[in-house]
Amino acid sequence: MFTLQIAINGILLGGLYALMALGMSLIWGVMNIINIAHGAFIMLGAYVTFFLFRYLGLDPFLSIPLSMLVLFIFGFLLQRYLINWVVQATMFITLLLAFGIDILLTNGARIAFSANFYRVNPSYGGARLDLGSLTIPEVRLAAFLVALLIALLLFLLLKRTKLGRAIRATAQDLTAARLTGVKVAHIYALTFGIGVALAGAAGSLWSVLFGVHPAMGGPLTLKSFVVVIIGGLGSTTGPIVGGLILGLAEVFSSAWLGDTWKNVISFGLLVLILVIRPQGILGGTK
Amino acid sequence: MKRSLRYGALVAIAALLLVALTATVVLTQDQPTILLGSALSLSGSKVREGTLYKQAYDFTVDYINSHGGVKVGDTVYNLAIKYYDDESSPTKSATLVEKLITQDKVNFLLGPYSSGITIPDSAIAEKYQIPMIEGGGASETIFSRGFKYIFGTLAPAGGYFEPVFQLITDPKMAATFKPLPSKVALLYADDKFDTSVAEGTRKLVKEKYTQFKLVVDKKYPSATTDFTTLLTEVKAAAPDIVLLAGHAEESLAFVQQAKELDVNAKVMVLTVGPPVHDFRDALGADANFIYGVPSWAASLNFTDTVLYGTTQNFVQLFEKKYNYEPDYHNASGAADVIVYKEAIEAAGSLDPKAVRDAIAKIDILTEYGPVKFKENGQIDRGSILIQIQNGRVYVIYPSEEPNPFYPMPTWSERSER
Amino acid sequence: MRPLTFLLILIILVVSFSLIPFGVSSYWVRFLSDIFMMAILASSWNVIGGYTGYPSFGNVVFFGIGAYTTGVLMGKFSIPFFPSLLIAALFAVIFAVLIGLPVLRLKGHYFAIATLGVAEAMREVVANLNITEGNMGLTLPIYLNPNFFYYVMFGILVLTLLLTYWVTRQRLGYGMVAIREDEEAAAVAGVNTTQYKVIAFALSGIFTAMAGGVHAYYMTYIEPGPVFNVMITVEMIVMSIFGGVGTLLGPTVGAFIIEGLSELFSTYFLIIHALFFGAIVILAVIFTPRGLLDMLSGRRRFGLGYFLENIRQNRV
Repeated sequence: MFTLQIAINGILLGGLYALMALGMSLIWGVMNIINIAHGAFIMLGAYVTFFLFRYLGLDPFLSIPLSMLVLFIFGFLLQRYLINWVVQATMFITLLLAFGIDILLTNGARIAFSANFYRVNPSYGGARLDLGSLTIPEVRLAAFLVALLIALLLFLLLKRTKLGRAIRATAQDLTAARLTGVKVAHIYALTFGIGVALAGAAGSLWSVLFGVHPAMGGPLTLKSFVVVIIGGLGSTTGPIVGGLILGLAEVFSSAWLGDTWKNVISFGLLVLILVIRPQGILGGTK
Repeated sequence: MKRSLRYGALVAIAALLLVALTATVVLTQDQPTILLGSALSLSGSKVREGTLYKQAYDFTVDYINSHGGVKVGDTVYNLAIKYYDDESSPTKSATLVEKLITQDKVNFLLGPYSSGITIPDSAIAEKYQIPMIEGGGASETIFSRGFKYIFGTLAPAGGYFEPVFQLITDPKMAATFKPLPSKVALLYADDKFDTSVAEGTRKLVKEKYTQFKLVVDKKYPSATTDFTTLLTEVKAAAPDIVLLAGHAEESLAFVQQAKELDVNAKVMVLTVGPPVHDFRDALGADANFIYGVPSWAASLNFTDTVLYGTTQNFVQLFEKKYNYEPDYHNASGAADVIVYKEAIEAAGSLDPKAVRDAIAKIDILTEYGPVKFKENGQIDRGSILIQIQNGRVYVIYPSEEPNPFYPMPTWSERSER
Repeated sequence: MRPLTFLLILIILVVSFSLIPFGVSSYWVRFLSDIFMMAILASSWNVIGGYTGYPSFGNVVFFGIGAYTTGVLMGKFSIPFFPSLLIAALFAVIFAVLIGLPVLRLKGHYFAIATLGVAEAMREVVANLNITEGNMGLTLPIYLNPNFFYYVMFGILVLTLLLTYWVTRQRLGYGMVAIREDEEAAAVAGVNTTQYKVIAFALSGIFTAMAGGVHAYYMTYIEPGPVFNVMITVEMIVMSIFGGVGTLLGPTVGAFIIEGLSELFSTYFLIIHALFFGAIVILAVIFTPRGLLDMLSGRRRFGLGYFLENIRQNRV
């Protein structure tokens, strides 16, 4: 029973990690940009939900579309008018630009919102589902389901809509897409906006489960890397698999080796996958 | 030829930069001033606490300046503070402390936040023999290097949880704590301070409070946000007492997740969190019945013979200025400045060695309580056990009539209230 | 550049920097020592990242290994400083070979992430070992002579530059550049790419580790977090980019300028200096992606057109 409880904890955590990494995977896969500032966008989404909750009393789950919208617009403009200038440059350049953006966002948030840690505390906060000796926190379960729902929506967007087709074409071959009339600059901006919006959704959920503060993004960016690499680029299911594996790896290494080893395991897994199978578990050949 | 011209341009730019750096702004003061210096975490992971200390230092300096200043012989001095942001990095902090001493020529030093940063900073203070009083590092390692110029006002880390055991084993409380809650779960973050707390606690249980038993003794990486595995393990061990040595964000996540997973204990004690206002705000009613072990609580009322008159006076004035009730970080920082005032006046000079000797001999009552340093420079005091009841902080121990709410209601019972 | 020019520059630098401690306060001595340290790190990174074209995002791992090897040897086994440094350098080389062999098979982004993962994993490993005192921190014997550390750091920087200069004029150096430009062609042309890559990686680690060892002794106390901090790697890279990736002195120039600017901002803008730093990084990356030295090398006409050309080349 103990093991089952741990496994459930791991799966619920894994779903959250999957959502968190979805945005990074999309941007990386389509635009070949590794968004080091990814965690900062998660942080912004968390703040949006927090402020809506505190000043308007808006339920955090209901605020998700709003935080996604705000971040979509922000991401779109950011890509169109800043990132676009270096998007074709070497990897260093894009990495460093993302790093610079991360510094501005994190420190800007600290200056604007203060370094206090906040939490979104809705009235149903600690609600639980008791199944025999198993305890399933309801908010976590709800967050897990929301994460899966959003992943599904993304999947449908990419596979079934015209926009999705354009995005996938641009990802495959920039020049060819251009030749077939796709406005690639526009697609890039939209993709970035969507990726950042997904980060925002993750942030909204984070604000309820783990709290909000300006520096929360850094470790989340690292975790997102691990998820994306394990699962593989180029699909929506990749991050889901990667997220579940990371979630389970963390909780079991904590239970069996001690909590302080879980990060060793996570990064060890990252390096191992890269060395053995760099395209990840579900990634195609690139 | 052109290339060397361009290199020349580069060198010129570099030289200009160096000149700009050397040109420090010199403040002219009419009033003779004693300059204190501090490298604080004003950005980075420790910015929250760093800011608490800055506010406390500033507040006390202003108060001193407007209430008679510091008298050295026949001259009245004002206090001023020069700050640098150490970005929560020990390397930067040490460099900045050296800058404060050699470049800005400060008279004395106020400490940074956190044991990990205080350790290298204190080495610099020692090298130049400039006193440093810090209110943000409680680890015994700071005071175990044989340094003479470092003093600290936070109670030693190892003894933080002692009041919990003292309360439960106090003969006056025998009826309340029957049967004795003897199974203890100890969880701690893996940084300097919290590991010191854990080590000290283990020693207390092994040597002094042998009625208690550690059924869980687990370390977790700092900045953890997910405690589900640890909580599942704690739940399986069914302890009576849960002790968590960690940081503010961790404490918050811990309590919330304990509620989610229905992990209960009769006594739950956190090193950081309960005394701090945003912790109580964030948790709301969930914070009730939780204990804390700060060095000081705002509900206390010491007589402050040096400056503020009483603790309550300090608390009210501080709250009026900053809009939050001060916690032990603020009080400890304020005490540091008060000690300087007292020591400088007692020494009758600004000579670092004379002032250092005066600090070592000090024995005063402040808003923070009695301040007296042990031989190694750490304050001779223990922590205080507080409990949150109805959203407010109450001092439970040491106390004339301890009034703990025991046992802590289970999460299910609470939602029925 | 020609050997004579290089030697001349080196002699001027050595003489002027050797005399500086006698004229300035010990704050400056310390500040310059920190700049030397970053210059060592950036120049070392340049070997694997700039010349060989393998963008390591984990070079701080060598810094940490150097710091902890020195720390454990000096703090726990009372081994003197210089032998400890040499052993630290040796450990770095061994580590580079062991990790390099599997990881250097990856390219581009994957290599970057893998090295980042290695660095993060090492930090966690060190934080969990008993011999390193984990996250409790390790204390070293105390030696508070700032001039000593100044000269040692400077010495290591000179060694780094000398070694890099020498390597670029050997077959190894040409091979590294060939790998960067077109690895397959290089292999076909007979370059033992695996061997060269591993050597380059090891070279990037030797002096980084030694700098770490000096740093540990200087600070008298180290914790895993600060010496395995990914920010240090990022700083190395930013400095190299700023000064000019793949050039000999670029990273050193970059180190001086970035540290100088950073210090300037922190002195005058207590609260918001970090914002300035972020803005500088962004501006540098957009307008001078090839670095300052490229700007000044005279190869291109220097004017507004230069900046616009950079942007036009890189955007979509």
